Amino acid sequence: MTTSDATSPEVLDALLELVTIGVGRGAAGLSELTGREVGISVPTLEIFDFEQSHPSDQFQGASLRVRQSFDGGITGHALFVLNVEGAHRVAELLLGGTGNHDAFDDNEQAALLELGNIIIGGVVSQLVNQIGESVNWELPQLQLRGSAGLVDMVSDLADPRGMRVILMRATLSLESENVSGYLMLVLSDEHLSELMEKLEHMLALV
Amino acid sequence: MKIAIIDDSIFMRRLITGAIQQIQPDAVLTEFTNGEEALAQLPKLAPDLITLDMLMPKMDGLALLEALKTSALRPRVIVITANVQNSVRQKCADFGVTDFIEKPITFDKLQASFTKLLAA
Repeated sequence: MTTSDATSPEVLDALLELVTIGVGRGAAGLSELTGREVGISVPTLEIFDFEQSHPSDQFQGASLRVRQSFDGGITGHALFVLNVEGAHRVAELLLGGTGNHDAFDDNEQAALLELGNIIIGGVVSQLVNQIGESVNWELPQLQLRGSAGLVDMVSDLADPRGMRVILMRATLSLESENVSGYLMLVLSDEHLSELMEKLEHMLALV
Repeated sequence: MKIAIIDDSIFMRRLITGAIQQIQPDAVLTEFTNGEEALAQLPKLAPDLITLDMLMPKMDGLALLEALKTSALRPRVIVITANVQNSVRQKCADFGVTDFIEKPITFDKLQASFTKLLAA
């Protein structure tokens, strides 16, 4: 039985709602920085088994990811992912002007890293605040990933041998720019179970 | 007014310095990329104000606040961070920071903070 099988719809709903609120904060940050309206999708939760089924794969071509790992009240990894073209356009919006589309210079990398940090911080902080916990952060890292899709995007974050990974995904879209980014939380089954227990406790107090 | 801007992101430092240069054109700005680098220079610089990121390499913002507590320096501190956990806000409040701004920084947010700071 998977974690989500064993968890009440009420707890799953609470988890996705908290992620939605956090994504909303991240979207507000992205909007402030780019001066563009940002649309967000309803987050989805998927169970990803490396050896069996793969979730719907929305990654086409090389992508840039900001990765930030955290532990404490919640333990896992958060990713903000943009395809390379989208990342160049976002960097242009953040810094003004048009950049070199062959590579990301130091300023562009710094801007994208900070953007990921703001979006990820908004989502994870929302979660930990709500359950009355805290987390310790690793420094964010900017990484270019290959084109093998979602498996490649997260394969270095967990032991692929029979391990399930829980993905919570939401899309942030710069609507006037045709640019979409994905926010993903990657938690092991064990750590998701711990989070669910804390959410159950939170709901019991409401 | 001497202001130290401590943030590991060149992008954020650019946004912060740009805003401060409009709000306080006479301010003397010095940038640091982490708490350790800042701590080594702050006694000599003796800033009136620090803008401080929380998550940085080598020495993070909370560690710098802890170090400042035991020093003779008493600058006012504006924390500017994406780490908006309640626990972090509380720790910053316990250290007596002047203001806590959630990233992304904007001109309006920083101007409001300076207005509050100068009125105090």
